[in-house]
Amino acid sequence: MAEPQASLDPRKYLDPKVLAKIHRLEVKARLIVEGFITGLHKSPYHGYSIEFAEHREYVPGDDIRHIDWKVFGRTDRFHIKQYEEETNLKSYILVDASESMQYGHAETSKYMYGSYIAAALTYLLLRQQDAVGLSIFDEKVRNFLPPATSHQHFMNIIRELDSQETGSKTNIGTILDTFAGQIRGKGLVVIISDMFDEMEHIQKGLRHLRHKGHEVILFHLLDHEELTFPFQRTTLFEGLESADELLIDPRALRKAYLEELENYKNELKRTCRNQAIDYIAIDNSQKLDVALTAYIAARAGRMRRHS
Amino acid sequence: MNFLSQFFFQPFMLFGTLLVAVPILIYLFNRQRYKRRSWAAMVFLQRALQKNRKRLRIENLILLLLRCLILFLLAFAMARPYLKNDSLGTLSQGPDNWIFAIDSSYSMNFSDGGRTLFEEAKESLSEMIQEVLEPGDRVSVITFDGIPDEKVSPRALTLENRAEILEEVASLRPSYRSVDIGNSLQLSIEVADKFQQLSGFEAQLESKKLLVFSDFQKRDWLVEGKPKDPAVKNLLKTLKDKHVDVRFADLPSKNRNLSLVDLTVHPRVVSSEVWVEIVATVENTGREDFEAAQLVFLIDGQEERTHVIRVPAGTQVSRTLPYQFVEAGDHSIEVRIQGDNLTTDNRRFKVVHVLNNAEVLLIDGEAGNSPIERETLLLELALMPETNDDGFKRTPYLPVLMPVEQLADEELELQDYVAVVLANVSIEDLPSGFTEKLTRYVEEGGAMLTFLGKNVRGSAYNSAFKPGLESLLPFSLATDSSIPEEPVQMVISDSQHPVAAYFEERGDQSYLGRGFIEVSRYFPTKEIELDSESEVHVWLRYNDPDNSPAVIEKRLGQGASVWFTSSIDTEWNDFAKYPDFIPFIHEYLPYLKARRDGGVNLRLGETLRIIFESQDYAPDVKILPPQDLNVGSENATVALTKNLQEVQGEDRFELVHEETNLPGIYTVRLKRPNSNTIDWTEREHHFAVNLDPSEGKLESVTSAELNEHFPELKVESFNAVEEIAQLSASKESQGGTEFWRSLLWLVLIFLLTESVLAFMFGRRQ
Repeated sequence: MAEPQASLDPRKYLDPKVLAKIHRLEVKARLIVEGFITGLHKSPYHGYSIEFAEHREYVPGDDIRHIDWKVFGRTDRFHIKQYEEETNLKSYILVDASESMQYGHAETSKYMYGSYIAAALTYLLLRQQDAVGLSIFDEKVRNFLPPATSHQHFMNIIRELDSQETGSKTNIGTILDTFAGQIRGKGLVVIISDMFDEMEHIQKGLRHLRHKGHEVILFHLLDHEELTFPFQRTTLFEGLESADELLIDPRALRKAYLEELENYKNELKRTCRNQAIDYIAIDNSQKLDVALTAYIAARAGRMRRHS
Repeated sequence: MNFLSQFFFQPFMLFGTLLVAVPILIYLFNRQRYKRRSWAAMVFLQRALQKNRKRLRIENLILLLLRCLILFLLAFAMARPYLKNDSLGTLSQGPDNWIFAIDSSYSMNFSDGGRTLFEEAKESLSEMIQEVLEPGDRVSVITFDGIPDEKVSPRALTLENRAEILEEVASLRPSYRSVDIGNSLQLSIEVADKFQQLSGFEAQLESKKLLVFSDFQKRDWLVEGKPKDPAVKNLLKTLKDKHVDVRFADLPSKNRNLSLVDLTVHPRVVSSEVWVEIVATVENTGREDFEAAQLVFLIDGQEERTHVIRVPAGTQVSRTLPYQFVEAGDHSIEVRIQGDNLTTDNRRFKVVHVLNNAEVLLIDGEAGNSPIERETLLLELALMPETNDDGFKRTPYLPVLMPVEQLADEELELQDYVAVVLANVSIEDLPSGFTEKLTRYVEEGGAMLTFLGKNVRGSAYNSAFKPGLESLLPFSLATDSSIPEEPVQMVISDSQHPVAAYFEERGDQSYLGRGFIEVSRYFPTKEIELDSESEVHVWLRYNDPDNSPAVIEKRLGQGASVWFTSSIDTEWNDFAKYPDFIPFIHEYLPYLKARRDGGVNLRLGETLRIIFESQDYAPDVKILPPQDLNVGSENATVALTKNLQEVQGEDRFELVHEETNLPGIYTVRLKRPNSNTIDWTEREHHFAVNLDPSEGKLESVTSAELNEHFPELKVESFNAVEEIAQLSASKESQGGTEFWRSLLWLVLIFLLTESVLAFMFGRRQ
């Protein structure tokens, strides 16, 4: 199958390397989503409309404003546009901006990659009239933009994401805990983080979120080098969030390190599964549609669960 | 190093074991030169490190040790260790010491159609050096010869100098000499001593092997069933004391050879147009008859006559070429024999100086007015030329009368005469300086015959000639002649003398031999005490109570002076009346002349000495040696330039030439300036050099004979092939095994292990 011409194909903007050359985050977000939607037609999710997700029959209590009169004209039944109902869904995107997120191979740090995801999701969600809120945190919450649906809101979110410097330690367990207590109503919480924190704290925070009835999607974002540990020469590793230093032969320790990392990921996955949280492992060298597809899939699953 | 060289062929490579430091240095270096990297996922690293610290340390240690071990083994293997596996103390033995001796006498040129024995010996030796000897062994190559030579001085064999030594061996050539076993063994002892210097104190007890490649001619070892040189036994004992094990590599030759043993010319005084007989003698020294050998005579390089002769085994056969030399001057004669297996002794050379006339100067002290009054009349008659019926000259001589009174007027070149006779000359009548002139003439090869008489005063002669061993007159004469009461007879007192032998042989026909010749007056002499070296012979005496000498012969330089203590005319005796007088003169003159000829017919290695009277020659002389047939005929001979040496205090020049190691005819070219032009006139002299024909006796000594006469030798195997096989085998068993190959395999296995471990430990992807 002939590939579409690269220059015309919006899907090329799913590549973080390509995106890194574009300066403005909101442009990046649009390009990602364009690319994503183009790709979607070829994906297993084809036919799943974002704008008009679904019609369902009117039941008493539904807002009359949401009745699709065109369908009524054809079928003589009341149908409610599904999205109308979904518009009420509030999404919270939580982006980790701790020191460790600064790490990244090539030009894309984990934070940058995370902000692409956040921006693209925001754009995507706003396009279908969902309210999107944003919280950027390190050891404490730095910013919080409550959910809204306006275009201005999109630009605010973009600006926030763009202006953040990474810094300080991660304290994600506490953050989640706090966050769960702060937001009212049920919503979709998207966490974008490397989750470098004590597992117990993480578990506690996630449990709290779930307890409040939030749907949680966890983008576990790790750098490609963190996932593969490809180093050869003797290296002095300096902790980003601590003053620790380790002089080691990376080849000698690679296997053990990867084992440790795998254990951690498995633990995290297990936690998520137990809490019915969608866990999506993201490698920042991957194309961005992986994250978006995962999000769509998670949202679809959630709607199925609710319908 | 000496100690280590007992275990290693290349002990200096052991320095390479210092390479073990390299992996350690690299490790330390890497710990100093690391890369810094900020890292987020520290917690996992820390945990991984905590759990694996011990394992990592062990793995690192294993890899480091393995790498060090690999380098160490590599350097160790390069040093080529070996273990001696003889039954005696394996570690006490050093490398082997070899003295290889090749017999380079000319009998080694024997060839049975293919290669010569010498070539075979060289090849066997090269094989030994190449295949049996190991680096670290010490080796020396010498020749067994008349003049033995150290061709390769003792040195430790290395991979580098092996080719050099082989080249040296390849360039060896046989000489034209015979072997002198004594000298050769003496050289072996000297070389053995050098081995000791080479390896220092510890080597005193080290054994050395002397392997002699030779055809082992019996004549070199035994004469008439006894050791030829009694010193050989002692030399062998000395070698044994120095721990030299003498081994023999015999190269057997078929005993099949013809030798040209003699070449003579009769008579010895040759003048032009006189027929002479050139006699060549061939000996079959082998056990096989030669049915048709070709004997070729060459005069001045031209083939003159070829005889096909039959030479039965063990016999000598002579053939004669009658010849008439036309021109005066030096002529070369060569004879060749063809058809045997050793060609070196198939040629013989002679240089003959042909005179126009063999002039004899007769200085007459009593010439008188008429011939009948001359003192020398009968001598003149005896020397007068004779022709045969065909008009050919039969005798070479021409007497030249010189009354003593005229001597001062003539400018005489005494060199032009074959002999100078003084007959009844009063010393006072001789011009001043004439006795010195005579002395020089004799020293240079002239013959002087002095007859006494009434003009002679003993005291005047004594003061003029100063009797002594360095003088023409070996005895002092009595002041006056003596007249016995009864005439005395002349009797032969030394029948060994060649002239005496002539008369002795003729026994009854010889008046002299029978003591018939009476002497009524003679000069008694006071004999000087003589030793055997003085070269004074008295072979004819009077039978007076003192047995006074009648003929005294004194060798001086290259010539001789003969004194007859009575007169030449018949006044004091009647010798000249007897028919014996003529053979006396005709036998004595050539005999004396032969001395002079000997100067240009030399034995191999003998020094040539020619004296030139005139100063007119240019001092540089060219000498053209004959071709060396051992080198090959394509190699042209190179003329040597020599300078004449001035004889101290005299106006004479002497040519001394010592390089006479090639048999054949040598040409000497002198230059003499022309008196009225600027050109030079070239003048050629020749001399001949002959080898010792007895080296052609190929009969070999057997190992049994050697063991019988030289029990210290304990000859076991004798044949070269067997001997070398035995030595090789003993070297194998003694030499020990090398295990660098195994070590390299071990290195390879370790390298593989290192790779696998490094991979397993995650040091490599």
